Amino acid sequence: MAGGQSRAARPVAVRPILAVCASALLWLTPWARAEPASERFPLPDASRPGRPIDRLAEKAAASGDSYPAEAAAEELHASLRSLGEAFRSGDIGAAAILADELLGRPPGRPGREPTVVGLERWKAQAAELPALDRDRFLAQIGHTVSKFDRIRVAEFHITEVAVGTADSGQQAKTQVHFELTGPTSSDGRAQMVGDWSMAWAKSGGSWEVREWHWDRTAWASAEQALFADITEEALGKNASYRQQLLPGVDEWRSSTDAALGIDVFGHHGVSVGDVDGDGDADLYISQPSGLPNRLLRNDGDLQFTDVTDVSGTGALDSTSMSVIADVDNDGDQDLVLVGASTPMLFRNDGTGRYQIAPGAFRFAGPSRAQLTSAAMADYDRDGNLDLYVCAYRHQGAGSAHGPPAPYHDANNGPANTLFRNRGDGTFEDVTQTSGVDHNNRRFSFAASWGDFDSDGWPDLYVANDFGRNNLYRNQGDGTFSDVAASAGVEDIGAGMSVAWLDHDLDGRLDLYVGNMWSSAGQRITGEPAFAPAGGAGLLASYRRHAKGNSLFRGVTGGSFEDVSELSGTAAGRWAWSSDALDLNGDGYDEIYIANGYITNSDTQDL
Amino acid sequence: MPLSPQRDGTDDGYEAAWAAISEWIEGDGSWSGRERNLCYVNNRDGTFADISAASGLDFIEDGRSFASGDLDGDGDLDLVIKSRNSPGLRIVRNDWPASRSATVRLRGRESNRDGIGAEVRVRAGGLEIRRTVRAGSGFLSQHAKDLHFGLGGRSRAEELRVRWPSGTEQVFPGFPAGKQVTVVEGSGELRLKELTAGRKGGGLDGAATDRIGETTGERRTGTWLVEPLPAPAWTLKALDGSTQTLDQYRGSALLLNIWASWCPPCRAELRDLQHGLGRLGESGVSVAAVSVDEAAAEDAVRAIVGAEGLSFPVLLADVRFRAAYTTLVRSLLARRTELGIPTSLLLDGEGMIEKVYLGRVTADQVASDAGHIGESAASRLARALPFPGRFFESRPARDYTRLGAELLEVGVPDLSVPYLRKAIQQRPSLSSAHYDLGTAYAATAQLEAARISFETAISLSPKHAQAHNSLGVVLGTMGRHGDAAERFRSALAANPSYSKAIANLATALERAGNAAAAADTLERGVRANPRDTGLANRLGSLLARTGDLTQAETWFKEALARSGEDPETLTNLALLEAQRGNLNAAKDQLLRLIDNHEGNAPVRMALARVQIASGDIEGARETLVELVGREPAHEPARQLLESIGK
Repeated sequence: MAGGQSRAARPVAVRPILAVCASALLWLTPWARAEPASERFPLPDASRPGRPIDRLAEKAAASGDSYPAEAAAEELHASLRSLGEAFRSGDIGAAAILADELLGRPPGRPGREPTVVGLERWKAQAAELPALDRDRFLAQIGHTVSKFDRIRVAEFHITEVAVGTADSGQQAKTQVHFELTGPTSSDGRAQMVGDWSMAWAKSGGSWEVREWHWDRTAWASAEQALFADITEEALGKNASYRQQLLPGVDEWRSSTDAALGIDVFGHHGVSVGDVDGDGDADLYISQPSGLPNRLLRNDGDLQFTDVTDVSGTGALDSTSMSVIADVDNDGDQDLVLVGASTPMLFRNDGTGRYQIAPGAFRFAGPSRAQLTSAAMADYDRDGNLDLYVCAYRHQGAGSAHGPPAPYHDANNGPANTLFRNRGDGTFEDVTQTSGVDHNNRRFSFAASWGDFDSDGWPDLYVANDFGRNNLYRNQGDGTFSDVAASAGVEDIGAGMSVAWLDHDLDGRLDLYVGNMWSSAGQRITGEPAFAPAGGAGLLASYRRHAKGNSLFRGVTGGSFEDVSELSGTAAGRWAWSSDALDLNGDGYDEIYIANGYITNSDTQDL
Repeated sequence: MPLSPQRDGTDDGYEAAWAAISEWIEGDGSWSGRERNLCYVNNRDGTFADISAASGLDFIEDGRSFASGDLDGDGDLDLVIKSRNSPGLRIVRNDWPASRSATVRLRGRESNRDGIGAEVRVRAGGLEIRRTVRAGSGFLSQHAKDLHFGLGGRSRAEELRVRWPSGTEQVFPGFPAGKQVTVVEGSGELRLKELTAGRKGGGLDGAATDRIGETTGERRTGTWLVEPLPAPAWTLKALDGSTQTLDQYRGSALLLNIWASWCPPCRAELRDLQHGLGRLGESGVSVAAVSVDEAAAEDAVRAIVGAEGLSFPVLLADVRFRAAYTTLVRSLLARRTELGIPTSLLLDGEGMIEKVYLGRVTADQVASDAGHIGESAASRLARALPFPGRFFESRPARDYTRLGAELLEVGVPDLSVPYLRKAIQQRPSLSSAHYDLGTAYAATAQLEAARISFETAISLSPKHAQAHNSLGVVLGTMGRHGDAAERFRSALAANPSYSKAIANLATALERAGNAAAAADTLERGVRANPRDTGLANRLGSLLARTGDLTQAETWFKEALARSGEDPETLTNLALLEAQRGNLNAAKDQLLRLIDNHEGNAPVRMALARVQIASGDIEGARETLVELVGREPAHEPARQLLESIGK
C-alpha cells in the first residue's frame, strides 16, 4: 500500500489522530508534483536528499498498518466512489458494485418537516416492508431521486465499519453518511442527505453490495435561490480584489520569499463595522504577513471601494483578526489588529483615517506567544472596552515547549492575556490578578464573551485545540474562576470557535463550539486495535476528538447539557468558524460552518 | 564513542510525526481538504437540519472565518466569507424570501459607546428573542454590532428591553417590523428608520459553489528576496577539466543556472543566455551553469555545450552541491518547493542570493534585474512585496535555524555553519542553534569551536541532554576522558534512559582505565533499558576485551535475544569463538554473515583478522581486496592489507 497511487494513498486515517498513530503516515503520497506555473522538471528521487517525512514514511511502512478494518474502509470508500459515478450518470443500476442478489430497503413514506419559508423538505425512515429484490429496489430508488433533474455531487463518509470472514470470503458492514445534490427540474437547488447501512461481500477480489438500507433520508430543495454570490459585482472594480483577495495563500506562498512569513494555515479573518460613521457596514479583511490588510468601504447599493491606502490601515504585519470598536468612546470606530505577537491599536480620527497608537498593549512579561484571536467586552463595567487575546503556540524555532502534549489534553501552550482598558488609551495586562491565568497554558483558537448566568457580568468561553476548554465566570469583583468542568462545557476536543446563542428561545444562553468531525477518526477510535495506553478515559477523549461540533443547551443553575447529537449539529467536518445567526428571519438562529483544512494539488484526499 | 557526534534528533515518534506532518502541509499535501461548508436550519423544536446544498452555501474552498451583517440595509443578514485558498473572499447576499425583520442599534452613554455587552430582548407574538452586542465571535470574525431580530412574519414587536453594561435597564413598548431601531442609553425615545427593499436575483448556481483554485493568472518572473542570504559554497569540476569555486565569482553579479541535459527547456534557456551574454556582461553579470546530470551523462552535457556553443563555464554538480542546493531551494519560498530544473539564482558580488527564478528566465530579464542589485534596503523590500504597505510591529526575518539544521541533516555540516551563525546573530539565546553549530563544527573536526558551542547551548539550556552528550564526545575525542565522563553523567541526569550517553560514559571510563566502572555502567544501563539493543553488545565487547569471555558471551546472547539477527553482535560472537581458539567455527559464522549482510564492512574486517590468525594470509588478502574494492576509503582495511602484504 505504501507509496501507492491509488486512493489508498490518501492520508485520511491520519487526520483526527495524527499524533497517536504515526504508522498511518504510510499512506502519504510521494511528493512528485507537476509544476503548473512553469515548466520545471523534478530531479530523480535518487539524486536528492530526503526530508523528515520520507524517513518517517519508511519507518511507518516497515511497522505496518495496525488497523485492519481501516484497510477495508479504504477499499470500500473506493467502491462507493463508483456508486457516486452511477448516481451522477443517472443510472444507479450501472454501478458494478451492486450484487445481482442485492436486497434493499428504500426510504419509506416521507414525513413533513417543520415549515421553513423558501424550502421544501421531507424526511423518511427506511420502509418497514421486507427488503426488495434488486430490480424492485433500484426502481424505487430511481423514483426517490427523480426529483433531481440530475445529481451533480455524490459524496460519502463511512462512519462505521466492521469486517468479518465467512466461508465465502471477506464480509463487511458499514454505516455510510451520504450527500446527493443537484438542480431540480425547475432549476432549484436540491439535496438529499442521510444514512445508509450496507452489507458487503468480497467477490473475486472486489467488494459487492449485498444489502442496502436507506435508514434515514432527508430532502431539502429551494426553488428560489436563497443566497447570491455578489463578490464580483460588489468588489470587481477594485484591483486589490482580483490581485490580492481572490487568490488564496498558496499562490502567495509559491511566489514570495519565505522570510515574509506567509504560512499555509490561512488563519486570517474578517470583520464588519462602520469605520466612516455613515451608518452602513464596511469590511476589514485580515491578511498574512507581507500582504496589506484591506479596508473595503460600503458605498451603498452593495458597492465597496478599497480605501486601505487613504485610511492608513494597510498593515503588512501578519494579522489573524481585527476588532472594530469605539475603544476610546470618542464617537468613532477604532481598529484593533491581532498581530502575530501583539495586538495593535489604530485610532480613528473621526473621518475614517487611522493612526497607530504605539505601545497601547503591554504584556506583563516577555512573551513569545503567537496570537490567534481576540474578543472585546467591558468585563469590569467601568465603561471602557477590555480585550481578551488568545494565543496558540510558542513562536520561533527551537522552542523548548515542543508540540502539544499530551495530545488529548495539551497543557504546554502559551498563556492567553486579558488586557484591561485604563481609559487613557493604554491597556494593562491583568491576566495574573484577574484569575484568568488559571488553566491558561492551552492552544487557544477563539474566545467569546457571554453572560451565561445572567448576572449582568460578562463571562468568557475559550475554545482550545488538543484538550479542554475554559468557561471563566466573571465574579463581579474584577476576578474570574474557571467553571467549565462544573458547568459541563469542558468539551475535550479540537476546539476552534465559540458562539453564544439561544437556539430554542428559552431565554437562557446556549453555547456552540467548533470542533472536528472526522469519519476516519470515528472509525479508527472505534477499532479494537485502537487502545491508547491510559485506559477507557483516554480512549473516550480520543473518540471525542473526532466527534464534531458541540451544542450545549443552557439549563437552570448556570450549567449546560450536551445536545450536540440530539440537535443534529455535530457533523461540522474540520470546522473553523461555526457560528449562529438568523438567516431566514424567523427569530431562531441557523448555524453556519466554514470548514476544510488544507486543499492542495494532491486530489486523492477528499 | 563515535568520533563525530551525530546531530541527535529526538527519539520521540510523536515529535517526529509532527515535524513530518508540518512538512507535508507546507509542501503540497492535502489534509481534510475539499470539505463543503455547512448550513443547518433551525427546526424551531430544538433540532436543526442540514440544508447546505439547498441554501447554496456549501462552498468547497477551505473556509476559515465569516462575518455577518446587513450589508445592503434590507433587514436580513448577508455574509462575508474568508477562506484559505481561492476564492479567498466571498460576499454573499441574503435573498431568502423571508419574513420581515428589524435591526436594533445601540448608543451607550454611561456604558461603552458601542453598547458591547448590552443585552436586548425583543418580544413578538409568542417569541422572546435575546441577543447581545458582541465584538468577537466564531473564529477570527466580528459580526456587525447592529442586532438583527427576525420577527417570524409578525408585523410588530410588542416589547423591547435593553440591559446596558452600566446596569441601566430600559423597556420600550414596541415597534413595527421593517425598521432600523436606534436606542440611546438613558433616552426614552426610539429612533426609527425604514429598512430598504433589497435587490434579489442572480442566485448561486452549483458552478459558483465549486469555484476553487482560481488564480489571478498573473505570474511574476522570479522572486526577489526580502532578505538576501549567502549562497552555499561549492568547488566543482568544470567541463574543461578545471576546478572552480563560488568564491572565484565574487566581485560581480552571477547568474547561477541549474540544469540537466535531459531537460529541453533548460537547453532553450542556455541558448538564450548564450545569445544574451553580451548584454549580461554589460550589466555586470557573469553566468555559470551547473549540470545536475548523473556522472555517467557527462558526454550528453558535453554534446549540448558543444552544439549550443556555450562559452560560459559549465560545471558538474557533485553530491554536496545537490544536497546543499536542494535544501536551500526548499527553504527559499514560503511553500516548501523541491528543486526542479531549470532553476536560477541571481547573486550579487558578495555571493548573496538576491533573486530566485523557478523555471525559465531570459537574459533580458536577468540583465534588467541586475540593475537593481545594490539598491537601498527600502527599494529591495518594495520590490519583494507584492503590494505597498507598512510593517508596524514586525519585520520579515528568515529562519536560518531551520536551513542550518537541514543542511546538517543532509550531510554538508561545513555548509551549515554560515546559516547557523546568522541564526545565532538573530537570536543569541537560541540553544538549539548553538547545539547545531557545535554539531557542525564537531563533524568538521573543529573540536575547540565545537566545545564552545556545546557549552553555550548547555548554559542556555542546562537540561539539554544531547548537548551534554555531544560535548562529552568532543572532550573524549580531545583525550579528556574524565571531563567527558562528567558530561555523559549530566546527559544521563537530564535523561536517564539516554542509551547513547550510557554507552559513551562506559567508553570514557574504559579509556580512562576504569574498565570495571565501565562494565558496571553498561550493566546498569542494560538492566534499566530492557528494550535497548546496543548496550548489551557493548557490554559483551568490553568484557571480551578484559578477557572475561564467559560473561561476554552471556551479554552477547542477551543482545541477540533483544535485537534478533544483529550482524554486529553476531560478528562479536564469532570473534569470541576465535578468541577461544575455534578459528574454523568463527570463519564459518562470519562467512554465513557475509552471505546475509553483503555490504557489511566490519564483518569482512573480522573475517580478515580471523583468517590472519589462522594463518590463511591469502584468504585474508582476498577478503580485504574485496572490502577495499567496495569501500575504497576504508582506511583500516587498507592498512591491514598493507601490513600483510609485507
